[in-house]
Amino acid sequence: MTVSEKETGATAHTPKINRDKLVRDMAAIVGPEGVLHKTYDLKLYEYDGSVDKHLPEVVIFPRSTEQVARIVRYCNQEQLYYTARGAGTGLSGGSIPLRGGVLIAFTRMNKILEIDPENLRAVVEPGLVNLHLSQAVAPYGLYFVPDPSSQKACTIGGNVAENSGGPHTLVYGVTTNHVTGLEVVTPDGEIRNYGGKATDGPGYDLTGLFVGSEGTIGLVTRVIVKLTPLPPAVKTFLAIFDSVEKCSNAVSGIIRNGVIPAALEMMDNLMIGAVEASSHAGYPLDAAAVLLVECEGLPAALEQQAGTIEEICRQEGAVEFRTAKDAAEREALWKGRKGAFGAVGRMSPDYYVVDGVVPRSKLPQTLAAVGAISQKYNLRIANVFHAGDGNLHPLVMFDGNKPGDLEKAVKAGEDIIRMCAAEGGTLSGEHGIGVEKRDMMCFIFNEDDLAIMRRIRQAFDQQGLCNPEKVIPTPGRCGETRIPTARKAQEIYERADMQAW
Amino acid sequence: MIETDNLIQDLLGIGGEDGLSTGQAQLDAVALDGQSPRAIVRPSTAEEAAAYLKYANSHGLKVAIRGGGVHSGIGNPLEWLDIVLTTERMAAITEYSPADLMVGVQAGVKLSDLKAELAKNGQFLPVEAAGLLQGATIGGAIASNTSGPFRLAYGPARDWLIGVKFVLADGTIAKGGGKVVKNVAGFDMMKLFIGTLGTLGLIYEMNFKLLPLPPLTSTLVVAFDDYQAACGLALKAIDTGTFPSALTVLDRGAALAVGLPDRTATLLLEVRNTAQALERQVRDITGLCREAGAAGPDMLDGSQEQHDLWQKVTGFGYRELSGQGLALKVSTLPDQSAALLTQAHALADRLSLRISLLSHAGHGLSWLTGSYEDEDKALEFVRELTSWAERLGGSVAAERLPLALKQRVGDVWGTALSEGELKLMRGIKAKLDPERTLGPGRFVAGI
Ligand SMILES: Cc1cc2nc3c(=O)[nH]c(=O)nc-3n(C[C@H](O)[C@H](O)[C@H](O)COP(=O)(O)OP(=O)(O)OC[C@H]3O[C@@H](n4cnc5c(N)ncnc54)[C@H](O)[C@@H]3O)c2cc1C
Ligand SMILES: Cc1cc2nc3c(=O)[nH]c(=O)nc-3n(C[C@H](O)[C@H](O)[C@H](O)COP(=O)(O)OP(=O)(O)OC[C@H]3O[C@@H](n4cnc5c(N)ncnc54)[C@H](O)[C@@H]3O)c2cc1C
Repeated sequence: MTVSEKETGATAHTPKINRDKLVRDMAAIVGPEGVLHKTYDLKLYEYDGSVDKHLPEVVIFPRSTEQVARIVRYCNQEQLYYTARGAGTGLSGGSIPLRGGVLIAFTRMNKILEIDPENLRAVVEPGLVNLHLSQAVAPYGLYFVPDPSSQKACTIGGNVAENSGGPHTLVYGVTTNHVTGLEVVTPDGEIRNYGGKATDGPGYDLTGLFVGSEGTIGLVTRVIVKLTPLPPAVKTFLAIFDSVEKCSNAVSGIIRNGVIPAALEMMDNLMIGAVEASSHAGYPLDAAAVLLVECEGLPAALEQQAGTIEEICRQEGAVEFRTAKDAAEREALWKGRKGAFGAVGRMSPDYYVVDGVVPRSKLPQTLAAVGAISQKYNLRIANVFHAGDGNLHPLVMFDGNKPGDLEKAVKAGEDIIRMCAAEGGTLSGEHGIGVEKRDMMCFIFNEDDLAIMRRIRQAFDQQGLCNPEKVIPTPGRCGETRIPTARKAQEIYERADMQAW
Repeated sequence: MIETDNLIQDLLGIGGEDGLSTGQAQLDAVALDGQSPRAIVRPSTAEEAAAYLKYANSHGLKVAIRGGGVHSGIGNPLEWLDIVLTTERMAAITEYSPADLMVGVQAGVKLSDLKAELAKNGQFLPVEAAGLLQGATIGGAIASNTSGPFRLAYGPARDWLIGVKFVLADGTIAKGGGKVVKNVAGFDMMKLFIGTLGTLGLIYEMNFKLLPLPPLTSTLVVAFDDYQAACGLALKAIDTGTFPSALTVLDRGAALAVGLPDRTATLLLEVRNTAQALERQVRDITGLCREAGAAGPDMLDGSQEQHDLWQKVTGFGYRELSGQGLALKVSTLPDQSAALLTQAHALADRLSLRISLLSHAGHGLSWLTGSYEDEDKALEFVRELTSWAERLGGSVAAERLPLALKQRVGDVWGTALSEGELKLMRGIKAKLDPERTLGPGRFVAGI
């Protein structure tokens, strides 16, 4: 039994499910090959990239919107909880069926339905893998901007639900800025169209409200995305520092000067060590910290921008610059960056990814505070993050087999998040609230703020069956430290689709 | 029966004399759809605004929110009006951190004041609105989801709003988002409140991310004999990677309205960049013009000259007197600009309207103004253009209509939304403003 069950006694309210009937009825909707129900199979779907887990009763793989609508109507009729799942790379437990019930996996709805290069739009199914979209539109000189480091595996539906970002969303914005319309199966089982290919349609912005709602107000079955022309030229370079403080000062300086590159990522020494050990990307092992900078645009403008950024870094004490000579060097650097989490996984039995944001001028003191938290708990913390956005990702290393270590890691993460909130930042820049941070929402929102979110949720989901227990805390329970189920984080690396990182 | 015998006394009790106007001339000056309110309230804090709203809400009084009041008439006819709540005394810049490229502003801050303040630090907020010079406020611009030519480069206003604080009709003060540029904590209340025309709550404070002002800009003016050629070149400029920041096609009337020569079709392009890159962009665009057989382009280099022209383009359609003629905002896909120009003019000719049309060919928003003698024909024009746009997956918002025409149009947003989506929107309204205190009837389908 998971901690969340213990806390809520939720299972007590769940009606007794006749699993055989459920499996039969679901097979009638999606065919027998679209239903998993053996414990052995379900085990693969009880967790995501976070540190929580809970078994679903069944996993269903719909192939059409109509099937999704029928599943939802069935769940309403039988009073079953249901939760959507993309690739399960989420880092806040969003796709974990916390009260069991039906897990709706979208991986078989993965088609690209339309590419409209003239109008810079594509229409895709939610199970499409993020990278596959950019690959498919590349021949038109276009790409889909949001590029989470998990892009080889994560789905567009998951990106929409989490409002995901990535290294290259600094200038062009995160998922919500690249979605103009959605087809959604609402919690009452109806198929609805929000927005469209054109923008500024009449009415409340249901598309904008849905993006980032973490699967709690409906299931998306079709996504209309904005495409962006590929940059004519790119320049990628490393600025190398002998102290973390100098490096974070440089980031603040770059933003203060308003020269915002396409990507501005930072890694500290511990992280560089992990990355180099697993991929030999070309990062200097002796550096205290590096900035990975990518400028893009017209060649002339690009050189000038890169020059200004170098200048600022030099003033802040950068000791060396290395420019990627060719596409291969550039790719190696990015492969290292995008594989950073996995690299830490090879270095430590377990790790806990923390996601917090601070105003960009506060990076220097924030990183110092993360260092202090590492010492306080006596746990190593590696830093790799979207520095340009002020979006930290401290990776807290621990050993799940050591009694008390998980608790310590979770507490360290909570300290970091509290500190981000106190600095005027936020709980999550891109990984979402899910269950992981649900009870931390009160660090930044008061009961009135949360009550309004609850009202919005009820406007869509009167029965409360859609992805229960996520995002919005139960009144009064907020603020308590939630120690998640001690899933062995190691399990994640055994999954083939996660090997890529 | 509404019991408000003590209305004035009660309102005085909430915010004192500074917060209240009841002079008939003042009331008439803020009339909406022919209805003057019984009182104007001017809260100076969120708490005061909450007290006024709570009072109105519990007494069955109807409230309209007013920013600069330059376009308060947008929307379906108001069912009823008792109180106008203005944001003029909530007009402070609450936090400005140039180093973080972030600003926090209260709703009543005038766009022109904000612009001047940010320019002192070489920064700007890419939120554009007609009525900038006439006193439009940041709250009004967000509540009506405005945008202008530079949306091509910067995206819609919603991309810049990172935090919002609001007051609901029942007096609840709440917020969403925050002040950092990336934030996925909780529902995106910013998106929910943008474009709601004061029908979900009072937006009293907003946080935005900012940008540094561009180093240099050039504006090119190209004349054409037909819409197709002008719009074709616009799309080509995107396609060939010249990275224009604005692409606006103007018909004859629109060109004259912004002070340009009398031409069938005019394409305005702007590029912004560092000197070297700009030179290359201008060269490439000039090449495209030659290929297309167009004369020119004429170049505007002076920054004041460019600024004035684009300001006029952004303010296109603004009239001192509301209710004069009609103004439609048309949303289509970018590649339908030429078809829109052709269609609108054919319709206008047939129905004897004089129209001017300006289309932001790169992002698909267009503005059309028109005057007419025959109301029946004007009605037919609005209906036909709306259904044409809707058939192509776009929409029309009749943002300004004389009251008589407005009352006949049905819904100023046409019929693009189906009953299913409307049901969800009514559900949201019912959760946040169950008594329908705020702008009843104003929104789509009379929400
Ligand atoms: C190594 C690694 C690196 C990562 N890097 C980044 C990064 O750089 N930036 C970033 O933003 N994130 C990152 N993530 C987090 C994660 O990849 C993203 O949140 C991603 O968008 C999740 O997609 P998914 O398909 O795996 O969704 P899942 O994890 O399966 O689900 C995530 C949420 O989406 C909901 N959902 C899924 N499909 C639907 C649907 N069709 N309708 C409604 N709701 C749905 C689920 O219910 C759940 O709440 C990373 C994760 C890992 C493991
Ligand atoms: C003819 C015409 C042409 C136009 N052209 C353009 C154009 O080219 N581009 C463009 O983007 N826009 C255009 N607009 C829209 C216009 O620019 C904006 O509506 C204007 O900026 C609103 O600012 P304001 O402060 O005067 O708001 P007001 O006119 O006072 O209010 C506008 C609406 O917002 C609501 N509101 C105001 N403040 C708040 C608040 N704090 N909280 C909640 N609700 C509030 C009001 O209730 C009202 O419904 C045009 C409108 C018309 C009629």
